[in-house]
Amino acid sequence: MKKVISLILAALLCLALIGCGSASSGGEKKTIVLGTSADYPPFEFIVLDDKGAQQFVGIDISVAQTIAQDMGAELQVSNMDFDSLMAALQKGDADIVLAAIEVTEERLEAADFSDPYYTDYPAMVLVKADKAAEYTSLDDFAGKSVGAQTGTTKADLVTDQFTGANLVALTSVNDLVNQLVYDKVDAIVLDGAVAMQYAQSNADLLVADVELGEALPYCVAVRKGDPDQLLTSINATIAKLVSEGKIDTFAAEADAISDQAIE
Amino acid sequence: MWWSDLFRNMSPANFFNFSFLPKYLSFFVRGVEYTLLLSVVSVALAVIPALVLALMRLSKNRLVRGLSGAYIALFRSTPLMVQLYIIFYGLFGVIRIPSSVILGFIDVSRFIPGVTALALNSSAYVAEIFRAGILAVDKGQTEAARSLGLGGWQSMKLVVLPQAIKNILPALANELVTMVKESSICSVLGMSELIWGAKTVATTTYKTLSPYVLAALIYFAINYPAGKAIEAVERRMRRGDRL
Repeated sequence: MKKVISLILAALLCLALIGCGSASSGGEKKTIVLGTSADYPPFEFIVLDDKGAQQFVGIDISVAQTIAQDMGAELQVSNMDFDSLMAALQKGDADIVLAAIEVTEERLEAADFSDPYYTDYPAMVLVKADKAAEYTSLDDFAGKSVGAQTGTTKADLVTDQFTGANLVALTSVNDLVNQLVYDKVDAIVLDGAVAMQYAQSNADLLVADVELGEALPYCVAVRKGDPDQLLTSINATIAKLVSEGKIDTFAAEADAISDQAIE
Repeated sequence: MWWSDLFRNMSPANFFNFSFLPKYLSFFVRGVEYTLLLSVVSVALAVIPALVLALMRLSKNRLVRGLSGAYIALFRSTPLMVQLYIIFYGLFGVIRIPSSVILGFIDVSRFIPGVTALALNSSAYVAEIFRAGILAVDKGQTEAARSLGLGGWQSMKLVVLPQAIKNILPALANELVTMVKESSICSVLGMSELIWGAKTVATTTYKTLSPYVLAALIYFAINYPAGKAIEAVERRMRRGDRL
């Protein structure tokens, strides 16, 4: 008797585990899912609209909206950490990824990329204002701790160009800034536009007078091999946006929204 | 607002620079609602599997005991964050949930995997709570029940479990308090709970620390009174013990 009950209970447990979710999605595809990491003003961030609803805004969001529009699809934003984006793309949780992504060899192995749509300022080094004078060349960072975002080209930059510096890789830019402000690292490397925004919003921080070479353009990532045949349409949209100068308009809009969000 | 002048000369990275508050309060309100829903639903869903696991754990059949033991060991000995990743990308990579928003701010395609992961994890801990609660009931109770002619399951259901509940309830409530804090891990997958709200406000407003401090204050304001209430209930339930 006891054995029978135990077995039934065991079977029930298995059923409970299997039954945890049985809803599956239908086939129609009228929405296009944008994977992004909305913690990166002015490229992608979240603000409140007039009605107090949360809204994704930024340069990348505007570009993605145009891409979806041109496909006759509705854009749906899926927000996650930057280092989860490529996994989400491969898993099929996102159809396109725009997150200020530069094309690298490693990323080409995980995804296919569109033509470039925007070129930011080159990466910049952010340091404490009172120590900014100490840093005039890359050699001055030898023996110092330099922070960068995990899985970004900025992290590679620290490894490759900051000889003798110790890389501190963190997931969010926000944490990197905290580490800098509270003297846990000596400098952080960020995308140019982002570094300038932080320097502008925080009087303790300054962009160091150090050149970091060329800026790489940002591209749209799609699933490897482009099984949904999205790239043709995406590239057409990008070509149109670039030739009309629309991306600069998006950038100006995003900067204005960001300034307003800070108050 | 008059008090926003207080923050005028504060660094954006100051712990107490709450100048974002009037405008971004809604992120925290939504965050609290999401966090509470996430943790309450998770613990509630964990109760039945946990009871099953606990009874299996106490079974005389070695296979059944082993199965339950393996489940509990697996979930208690690995980080919740990894479990969350495996369930979100693995299990719910196979079972696709279409993205749709309920109650105005809960995206079910994230909420359901989150609840599943927390519930599976929690059921391992709650199972141990149940097991300890059942074992704490004196063996004489079962013996008396059996000698009165009750079957094994009947004496468990009618005699042991009702007494075990007294031991179990406070511990279960504590598990809920723990879950309110633990559920913050779901922010890494974009579930818009309290820590996610703080993170979003921090990045949008460049106030890089104070939103987290506010979130901590809110967690405290929820968990401290809850803990006190549990203590009070525990004291009340112990009254009958003094013999």
